[in-house]
Amino acid sequence: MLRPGHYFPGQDMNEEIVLFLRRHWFSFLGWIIIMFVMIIVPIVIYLTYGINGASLSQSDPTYRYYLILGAGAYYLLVLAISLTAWINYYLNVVIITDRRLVDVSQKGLFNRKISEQSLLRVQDVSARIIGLFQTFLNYGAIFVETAGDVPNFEMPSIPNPSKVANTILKLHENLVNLGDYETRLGEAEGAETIPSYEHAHKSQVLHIDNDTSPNTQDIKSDGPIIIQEEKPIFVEKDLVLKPDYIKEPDENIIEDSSQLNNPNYIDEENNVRPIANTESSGYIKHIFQVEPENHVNEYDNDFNYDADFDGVVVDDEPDRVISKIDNNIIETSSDKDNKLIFTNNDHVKTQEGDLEDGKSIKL
Amino acid sequence: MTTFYISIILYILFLITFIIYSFFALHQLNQYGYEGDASKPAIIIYGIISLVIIFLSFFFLLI
Repeated sequence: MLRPGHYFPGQDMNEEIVLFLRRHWFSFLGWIIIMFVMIIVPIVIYLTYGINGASLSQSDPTYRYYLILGAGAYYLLVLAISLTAWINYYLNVVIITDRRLVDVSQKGLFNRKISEQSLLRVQDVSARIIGLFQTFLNYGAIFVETAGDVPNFEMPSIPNPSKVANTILKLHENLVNLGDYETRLGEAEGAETIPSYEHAHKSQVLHIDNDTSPNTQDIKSDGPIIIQEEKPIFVEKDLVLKPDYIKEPDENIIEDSSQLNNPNYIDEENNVRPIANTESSGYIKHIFQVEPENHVNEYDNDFNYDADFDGVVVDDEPDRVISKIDNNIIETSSDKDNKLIFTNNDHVKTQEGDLEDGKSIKL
Repeated sequence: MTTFYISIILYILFLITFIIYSFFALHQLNQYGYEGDASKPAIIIYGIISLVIIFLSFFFLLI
């Protein structure tokens, strides 16, 4: 049984499942009718004619045995055919993630095909609703035209096809708008050279020596914190913001403490820049801008991020486990008594002390 | 009576085939079904119906 959140082979840990679609039930209705007829007809025949005009108990024992064994075998056969038909229907799914389309096609018991297509290659998406039943029940086919020689994608009998087509286009646009389109397209085509900071163009790591930092009021000020885009630093591909893979700046790295309040100050030598200060018995060690491509993954015990959260997580404990970040909601399972600061460009919220499991902070 | 025994043997052979086929089908469903969906209930219902049919067929033979 596939684990929750893991829907197809090759799914990235931080890949978000946007839509999980099965064919419309009406496409299975034919099988339901066939099965119903196959079950009912022998019963009707028996009840109408009996065995040679006699009931089961009165009939010739030989006929009786044949009837019982025949009926047993017949209904087991019907059951097996029903199961096969249902498996063909039920395991036939279309999965739309924030990066690709995946078509899991089940034909018979031992014929399973999984084809996928990068959303970056999508050129046009159309929904076709043909006929009375499809119009009435709102289901139909979706055709995804793709760039280049890649075969087009066809998904038949999809419920609510217009909405699904719309979603695919939006996801495609989101992906394109993330920037670095050419590189990503290259990746989708299987190119080998991908910048190691591919997913990290908005990420940054900051170290602030808090011994000299001002008070919390500075953080709670109403004005937005302006975060300038910075070239990616300290971050490895696919391991964005994982503490193990982040180059740790030395403590007291910003030697000029007078610059701690200056958002425009950049310590170029160490590639760090203050964006927020806080009063704390400890010190802020890392400030991360959440990279939109990182998503919640409940199996990842390290930092996890949600695509919709594009704010900043300020964490004074590099090994703190943030188990879930939902749209501007951050949950932590840390058991450490330290201060957490969560901020996006508009709001800052600090949390003193421990956070209980599953407790969330809404910015 | 010989015909009867041949019928029983044929039925048992059919049952063996049915069980092997069902095993693979349910294995497929168990392997590729998703946690929390209808796969597990389907496996249970299929198992129960199969057992009921097999049990009834032998029960009616013996009465």
